[in-house]
Amino acid sequence: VTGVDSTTGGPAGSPATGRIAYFHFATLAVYAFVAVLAALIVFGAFATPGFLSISNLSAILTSTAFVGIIAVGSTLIMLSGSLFSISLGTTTAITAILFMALLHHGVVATIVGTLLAGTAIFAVQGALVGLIGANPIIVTIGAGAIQEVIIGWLSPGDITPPPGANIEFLARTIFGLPFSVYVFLGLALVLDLIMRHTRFGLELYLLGEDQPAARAAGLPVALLTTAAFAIAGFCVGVTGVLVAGFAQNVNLQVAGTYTFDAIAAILVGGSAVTGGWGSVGRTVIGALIIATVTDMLLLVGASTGMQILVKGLIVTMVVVLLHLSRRERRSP
Amino acid sequence: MSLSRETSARKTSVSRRVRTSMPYVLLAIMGAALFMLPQFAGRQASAFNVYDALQLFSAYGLVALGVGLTMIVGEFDFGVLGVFALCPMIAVKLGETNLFLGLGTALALAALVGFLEGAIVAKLRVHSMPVTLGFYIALLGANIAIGNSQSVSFSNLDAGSALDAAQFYVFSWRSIIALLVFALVFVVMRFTRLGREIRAVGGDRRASRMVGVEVDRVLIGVFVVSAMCSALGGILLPTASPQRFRIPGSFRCSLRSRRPLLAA
Repeated sequence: VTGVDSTTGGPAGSPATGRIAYFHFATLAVYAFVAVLAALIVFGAFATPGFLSISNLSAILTSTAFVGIIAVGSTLIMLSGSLFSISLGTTTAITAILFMALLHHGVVATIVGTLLAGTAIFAVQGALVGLIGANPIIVTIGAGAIQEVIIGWLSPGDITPPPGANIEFLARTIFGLPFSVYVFLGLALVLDLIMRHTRFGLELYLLGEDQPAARAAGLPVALLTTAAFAIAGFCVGVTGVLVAGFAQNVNLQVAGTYTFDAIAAILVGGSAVTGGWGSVGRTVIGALIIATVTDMLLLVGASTGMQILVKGLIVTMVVVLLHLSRRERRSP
Repeated sequence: MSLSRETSARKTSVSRRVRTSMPYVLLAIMGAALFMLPQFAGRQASAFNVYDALQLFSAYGLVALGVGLTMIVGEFDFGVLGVFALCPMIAVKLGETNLFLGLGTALALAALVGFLEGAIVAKLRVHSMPVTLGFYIALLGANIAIGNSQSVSFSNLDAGSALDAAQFYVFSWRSIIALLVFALVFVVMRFTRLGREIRAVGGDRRASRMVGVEVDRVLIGVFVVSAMCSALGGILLPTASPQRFRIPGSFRCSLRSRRPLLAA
């Protein structure tokens, strides 16, 4: 699945005139969309009772945390040019179940084991993509299905923590915000620094921008891809641990809509789906935008369906407008 | 040098042969498993097992067909999952008063969704995955909103029973409909100019454009067909057996929703 057409498009008419008009259209459309979205959020903030309260802002951050952690990790997969994983939610559920099931070995050992499991599950998928050039969507769809089948055999029902397990700290509130929010912001900061200031980060950008060039330059493509997936898996494992600590009762349903919520956050943040352009910081903004809009719709009484519908429309519009703007900027 | 080129060509040929024969080999293995596995439990496979497998095929197979077509043209359509969930909801809601109105509206909606997706991908050259993902999320939301987060049932039990009634032991009308759609797509892909153009667009889009293939029209058409196949698959699913007469209010990316993507 390539989906890339290098044939130039563009409007009819004289090339120069058409390009100028098109440039104005694409750029103005992006600015207009951002302005409308910002105006709606500001207007909604003042018009919606309770939106600007500390408790509601805390609720927005809290709802961003789980999806946000998965999204910042998955940003590395997208930046490396391997699109995205379709098994994010499934592995979140698997790691949450694993965490609960292994808790009798001690909390610290279980956390380490769960994070390693998440990292390993994704590293294997990354190795398949990086080593043999397998399609990431197909690999991750298949990996998700295999995980669901295995966990269905091993643990068909709900799993609760063993008596005496001390995992309350995972859901503890510190200075008015849940522990998960600090983990989210900390991970986002670390990953952003890695991507901006390390050789690994820069190589990952190059790999996403132009894989043949990265190969020609002698970059370890398979290793980089595997590492990007492994880091995403680590973040998914972190979410699994936090979800388990928060829910106290886990099963496969924990997967929920994490997969597409996380991908939506990355896309709304504006990272290029084909890789090489974007950042972890943008994903944080994307996750916050989605959480804010969802929260606002919730406060005005919109149904769950309406919230998801609006989320889908925002994703589609952002993807289209940013693509048009980016394509125009690349044109000479 | 020529020896290495010859070895490389032989490897490519073998790899292509393996890839081409893979679906048939898998089908043969699954067919053998269908008849052999029950024997380990001391049972015999019957015509009903084949009937049941074909019943599932009629729903998920059509979605896989749609996704497969978009993959042939070098794209991917997540939107099929949204259409698969939403269109049966529309068909049931409107079909309560008039069956054909429900079916027509659901299929027209699917065509519209496919057209919009295809037009964005073809005309604006946007990557199909994020676009169709956005459509999937939006359609999922619309499904939940219209269904009010509840499953809905189709009260016309006669229609469901008629579609489910066994024909020639192993078929039902719904599996026959699905097989006819597959046969139609096979004929178009194998024996018509359109089929060759679809494969050409997937093989090399730039070259196809240069030799006069209407690439944009082909892309849009494939997305429309993909969405309509998925809608039909979704419609055939809830109207099948009375115990499955419920349409899910939500359709998460679980194993169930992955089936058609895996099949494709």
